[in-house]
Amino acid sequence: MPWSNQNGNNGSNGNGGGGPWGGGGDNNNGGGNNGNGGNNGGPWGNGPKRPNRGGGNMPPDLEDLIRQGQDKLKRAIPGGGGSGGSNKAFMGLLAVGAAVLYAMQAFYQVDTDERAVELLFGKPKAELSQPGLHFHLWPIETVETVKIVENQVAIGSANSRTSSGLMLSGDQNIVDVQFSVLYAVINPQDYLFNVAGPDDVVRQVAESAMREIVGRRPAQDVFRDNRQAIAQEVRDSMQLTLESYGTGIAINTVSIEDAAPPKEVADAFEEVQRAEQDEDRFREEANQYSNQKLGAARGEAAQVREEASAYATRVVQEAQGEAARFISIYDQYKLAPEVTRKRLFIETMEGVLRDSNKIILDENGGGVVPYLPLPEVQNRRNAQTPTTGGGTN
Amino acid sequence: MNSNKLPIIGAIFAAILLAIYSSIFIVTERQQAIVLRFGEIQKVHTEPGLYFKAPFAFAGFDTVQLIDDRILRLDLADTPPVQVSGGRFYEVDAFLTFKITDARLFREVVSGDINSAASRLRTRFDAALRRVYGLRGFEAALSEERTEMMREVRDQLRPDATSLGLTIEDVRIVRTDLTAEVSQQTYDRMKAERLAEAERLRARGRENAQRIRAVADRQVVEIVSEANRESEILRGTGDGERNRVFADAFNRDPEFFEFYRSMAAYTSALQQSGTTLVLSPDSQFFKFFEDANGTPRSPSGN
Repeated sequence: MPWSNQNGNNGSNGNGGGGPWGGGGDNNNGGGNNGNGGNNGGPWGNGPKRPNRGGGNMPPDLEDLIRQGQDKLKRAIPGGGGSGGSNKAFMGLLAVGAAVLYAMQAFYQVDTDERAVELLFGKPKAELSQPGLHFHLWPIETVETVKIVENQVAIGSANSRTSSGLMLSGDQNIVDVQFSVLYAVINPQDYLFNVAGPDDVVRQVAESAMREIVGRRPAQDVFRDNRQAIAQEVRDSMQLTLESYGTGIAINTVSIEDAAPPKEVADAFEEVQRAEQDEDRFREEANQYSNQKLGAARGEAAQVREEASAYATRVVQEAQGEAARFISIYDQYKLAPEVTRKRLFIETMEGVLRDSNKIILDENGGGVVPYLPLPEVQNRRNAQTPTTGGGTN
Repeated sequence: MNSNKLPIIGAIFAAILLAIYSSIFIVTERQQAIVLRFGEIQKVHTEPGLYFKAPFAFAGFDTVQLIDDRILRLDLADTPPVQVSGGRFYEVDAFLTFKITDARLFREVVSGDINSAASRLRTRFDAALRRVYGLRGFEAALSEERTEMMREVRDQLRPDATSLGLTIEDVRIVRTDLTAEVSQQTYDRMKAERLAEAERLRARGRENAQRIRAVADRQVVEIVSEANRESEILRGTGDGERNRVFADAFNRDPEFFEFYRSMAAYTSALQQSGTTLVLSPDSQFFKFFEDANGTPRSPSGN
């Protein structure tokens, strides 16, 4: 009993959430057992409460409601009949409780990232409920809220649950494409009522569009050159399809996160990259050789030129020196030709004969056989003996 | 007393409420409704709203069957490989979207059961897909004609769908993949292609490297030979100048030059050489060797 009383107080204070709805019903029964119940309070008190058991925002199932209503009635009528008495305080409490409960059902909140659509007898109203607190005539009207935040669906990635990203490209290669589609609800009415499972439709359409477009292009486009264009094309194609279904969804971005060769052939693709590196390396090595050789050649050329220049200068200088020397001697020679000539001759012969081996033969001498011991002369020279004059007269 | 009447009033009230409840129904935007009376289709409501019917469904009066009015999707996946005209196979996934547009027919043919309708449609979808693929070659089926094929499947399915009370909105092919065995061959081919490409790149690298080296070698020869040419020209100029200088000097007295130069040549040619000279005392040098008066015994040396 203390528990149910407490519960009743809570109910009148309007603190109840989902749970206290049931508590309210219990309290009602408890009140009836206390013998304080009003004469016809039961049916009215129960009236608005019946659908509460049917659930909050779900579209009302009439058969179900009726069945529950019948149950309630069966329980409420004996209770009310048994008590017989009237209690204004309890009636007031009941009315306040019912009003609170109704208010809680009829007022609804729309968050910043949501929009809500009110339906009158199942027919959606044209205008949307913007964020804030709203009132609707429940149960004649119901309300449905939609998140308008951007959603993401990832396809082909490792954590994707459904399908792999392997697909055929136009040149019949297999590529592994991982991509994400970011989309948002722009028309909540369409989103809610036109298509069954719109989020699954987005996934299917995304996969279909990506495969179609990749299937039209060579693999190389997908791997490197043209990802942006492909993403754009997929986006456009998806948008067109989704619009034709009337999903109320706008595709914001299709981003290709990774487009790689499948792992079975990844090594061969890396081999190509290694080959590209090799190609560069070969060229750079050749450039190195070239630079080295050309540098050396230019150095050598400079040396050859400088040497030639030095030679030319040297021979000219020497010639000039020698000529000047000759001229000096000649000038003096002109003054005393005979003497100078003789002196030069004698000095020269002196110099020449001083260091030479000399054999003086008198051809008029007779009797002397001019025998020249050439080997001996040779030997003497080989023995490096200083030249000594030797001769016969 | 009031309290005695209360149950009766309550019961009447409840009965009225019950009658009202069981005679109205709501069709939401998502749905359409068929009203049946004793198994006969009484009415079809396709617009959302509040509708009335005769109450007491349990007694065989009007029952309401709610049918989906949204675009529905039918996926075709994990079917056996589809053969194309060349005898090769693809694994094909596709889906179609459809709408129940003739609720009456839908109720009559498949008792309004969406699963049973879907299974019939799936069979025909599969058949239509195989027909359309069977007319295409391997490559055509992959890429260019995909749009055309989707349209053909849709057109082929339309009469069947109409007979079920359905309208095909769209047919889309999701996957056209190679079967597992062919995939392996494709991988092998891709691998071979890539390796060939790698070799081509390397060969091009080597070719360029060799060209660069050859160009460098040629330039080396050019540079050095040009330097040599200039060098020879320079040396020649020097030699020429030397000759001119000598000629200038020596032309003053050619006879004396001959003598002077001969003396110089003797000195440098015979000096320090250990030469053995065989001389005659008659030579000029020995003019005074035997005779202080100095007339040579013969007019010429040897």
